[in-house]
Amino acid sequence: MKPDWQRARTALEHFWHEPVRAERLAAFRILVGAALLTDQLFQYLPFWGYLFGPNGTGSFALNEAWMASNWRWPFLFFFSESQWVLGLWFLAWVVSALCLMLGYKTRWSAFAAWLLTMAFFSRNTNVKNGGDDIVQIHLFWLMFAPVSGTWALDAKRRPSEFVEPWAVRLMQIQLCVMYAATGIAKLKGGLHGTWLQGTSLHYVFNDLGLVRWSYASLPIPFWISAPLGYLALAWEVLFTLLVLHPKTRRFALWYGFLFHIVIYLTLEVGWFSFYSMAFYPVWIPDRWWRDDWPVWRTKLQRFASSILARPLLTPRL
Amino acid sequence: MRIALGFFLFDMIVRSTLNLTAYDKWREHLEVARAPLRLPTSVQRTKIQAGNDPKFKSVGARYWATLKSCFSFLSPLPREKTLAHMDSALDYARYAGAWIGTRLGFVGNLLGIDEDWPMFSPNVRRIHITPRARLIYSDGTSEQVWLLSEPYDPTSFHRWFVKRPLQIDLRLAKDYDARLGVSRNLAERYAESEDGAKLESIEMFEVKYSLPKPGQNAYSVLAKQRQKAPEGEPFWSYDVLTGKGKTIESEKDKKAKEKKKAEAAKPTEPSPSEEAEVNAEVGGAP
Repeated sequence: MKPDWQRARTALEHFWHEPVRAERLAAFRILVGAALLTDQLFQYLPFWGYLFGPNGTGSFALNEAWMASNWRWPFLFFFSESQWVLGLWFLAWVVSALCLMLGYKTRWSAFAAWLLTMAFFSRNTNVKNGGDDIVQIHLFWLMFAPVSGTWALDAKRRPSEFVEPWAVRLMQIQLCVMYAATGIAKLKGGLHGTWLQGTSLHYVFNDLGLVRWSYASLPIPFWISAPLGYLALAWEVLFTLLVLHPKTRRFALWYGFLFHIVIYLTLEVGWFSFYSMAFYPVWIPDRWWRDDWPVWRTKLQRFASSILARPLLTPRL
Repeated sequence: MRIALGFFLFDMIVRSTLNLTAYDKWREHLEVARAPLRLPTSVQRTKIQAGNDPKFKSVGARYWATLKSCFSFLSPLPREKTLAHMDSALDYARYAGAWIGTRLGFVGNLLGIDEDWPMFSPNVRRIHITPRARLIYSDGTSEQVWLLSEPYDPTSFHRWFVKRPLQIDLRLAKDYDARLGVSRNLAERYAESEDGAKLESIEMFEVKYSLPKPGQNAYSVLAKQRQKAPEGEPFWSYDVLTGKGKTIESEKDKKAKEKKKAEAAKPTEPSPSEEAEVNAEVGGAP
């Protein structure tokens, strides 16, 4: 029997050095790329005029002083007011997200996506929320992480079944820190605060500036919103402890997944849920990718081919 | 690689933790700089190039001043200004917190990494305060514009894929640049009234909605507030011709500011020993 300190050391070495399956980071890359691409196409493009148009809220002259004061250095190159130039920058941003998703020239596309995301956020910082802080972190790590070992065009040249684990570990710690920090920040409201009184979710569902539809159309009873609020708070505060054990980890991650789906369906907070859920594949254990994923892949392939084989229009006789 | 990983791990944990403390208040109290001297803006550069800046002879000198300021910003030693506020071990600990928080924040700004996760904390708001715009035309008529942050009928609405413009509308009350940008955009979209009168100015008002309390009939609470009238004076005025906007302080804000000013100017009560000294000088009772 090894002494405790040696066991702890072995566990730590395993945590930071034991290679992990490449699918974990590849899925992370694909989700981030897909989320960014859809964000650009569904949330930026339809409002281009309001956000970056000639009389939009993101004009350079309007925001330059703020960018300089807050050291948003992309203003040194991202200064043109010309709609043509801005349009080309936007196109480059979209292409970088697409390449990232496909794993084509992955490092360069991650670099371009990181740089242009920062440039567009700096130019009109009022469009940002917590989800956008998450995608900036994702893109920063994607520049360095070994994310193109599989499911990538780059993998055709250099495929790898296993990759170094540091990026997986960093993402896992980041998610724990994020949930813990937001949970503790909520506890700061104290006994008279809305979170410990159980009224938080009720007021969130009523917030006229955030909700997707009127609470009057679909009232959620207090006896549902109060326990859900307590559960959400407990889950955020205890997430780090819950993921330490495989059994509780499964609950913590499934709960988190549903939590983000519910947030997306009830609140207009943009792509916050999708950017947060991009963290989740790094938690799926190697065992699942090795044993269960091939079965799921076959099922998915069969399903896809059955849909593709079906004629789009059935001729009427 | 290990050093870089260690740094970012430290940044992730320490900055998220510091954001939970009152470190920004400590920073303010101890007069710790938030960032080095900012990079010059295009207006500043033009001014220097035209020889109208008394401090800098060339743009290069201005950039050099920023670079030099970066070096001094990274020094962990407290400035004289800061030292004047440091009396106890607690102040030194707070200085350490403020120093680490601001320096990590600066690196975060450079890399686009923010580690503040306040989502709905510490409390969720029980009222919804939202701006509404009033467009004033040259013929004296006016028109109200509901922004995305205020549903026209609070009892019946839905919204999808509008996060980006909605986020801007939600920040109008706090952010000058957002107000100016939105006003310019409104001026372009509503340049003329239906009768052909030209848009002259835009005002913004606050509208307050009370949200239904648990157990209350949500429909009746919200229905009573349909097309609610704005309260009080406008907080923003924009002149279409000049393209300039002005924030208007409310009476409440003005009073609060005056009170703060008066408190700062008020001499502190002399201590008993000081009183005795003064009395001795003027010959009064001890």
